[in-house]
Amino acid sequence: MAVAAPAPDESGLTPAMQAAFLRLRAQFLAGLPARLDEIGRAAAAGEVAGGQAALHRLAGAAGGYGFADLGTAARRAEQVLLAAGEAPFHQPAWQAAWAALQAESATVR
Amino acid sequence: MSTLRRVMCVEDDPDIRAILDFSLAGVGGLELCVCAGGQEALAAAPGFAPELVLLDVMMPGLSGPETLVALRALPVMAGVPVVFLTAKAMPDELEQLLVHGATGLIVKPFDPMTLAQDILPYWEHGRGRASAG
Repeated sequence: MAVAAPAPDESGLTPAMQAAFLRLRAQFLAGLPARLDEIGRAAAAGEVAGGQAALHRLAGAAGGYGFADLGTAARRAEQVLLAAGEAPFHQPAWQAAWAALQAESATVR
Repeated sequence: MSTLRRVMCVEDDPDIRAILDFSLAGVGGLELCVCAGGQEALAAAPGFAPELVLLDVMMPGLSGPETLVALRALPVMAGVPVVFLTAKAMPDELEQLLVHGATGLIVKPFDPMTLAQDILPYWEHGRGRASAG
């Protein structure tokens, strides 16, 4: 007896694909603390290149999983870091951008 | 009329590799080769023979532009469109990337539900024309 395939929802995805996407989202969220820790360690060590690279990766990944505001906050923090001069991690602009990123990440977890 | 089948993705972030796989292979039904960096891509390209390459820009080791130059030296890559995937968004940054000879670029974040469709114009218009930059 033939069984009809599950109908996709309005996103065009079958239930199986929806479930797969949700699993990927969960994996991304599970890895978010480690991403933030990496940025925090770079800031504590004064490693601008490392912090910028970690922010850049987060900015690129977050939106693909539906967390657009998180990606925007990461991008903003990256731009602040790139625009800062000496001792960027001690500057108020970085402190504010970092706090905003951490706050945004708390809303998605 | 031929259709796009084989896409190579070069991306160092594991979460982005996962969503690329979901998007292009799962949603798009494409045959995918996902590489974690430029050296891996250079090793895989001759055997996989991609019809289009999605290439991250910022990667450790070989950068995206450096990988592009090295890929273009491979005979199998003649005429194959290479599209940069980048989180850069400022117009001057984007313009600088195209100078390296990419067929086009897609700004992250991309929509995983439509990426397989979004890359088609680059394949349709870029194949056969792509050459060393």
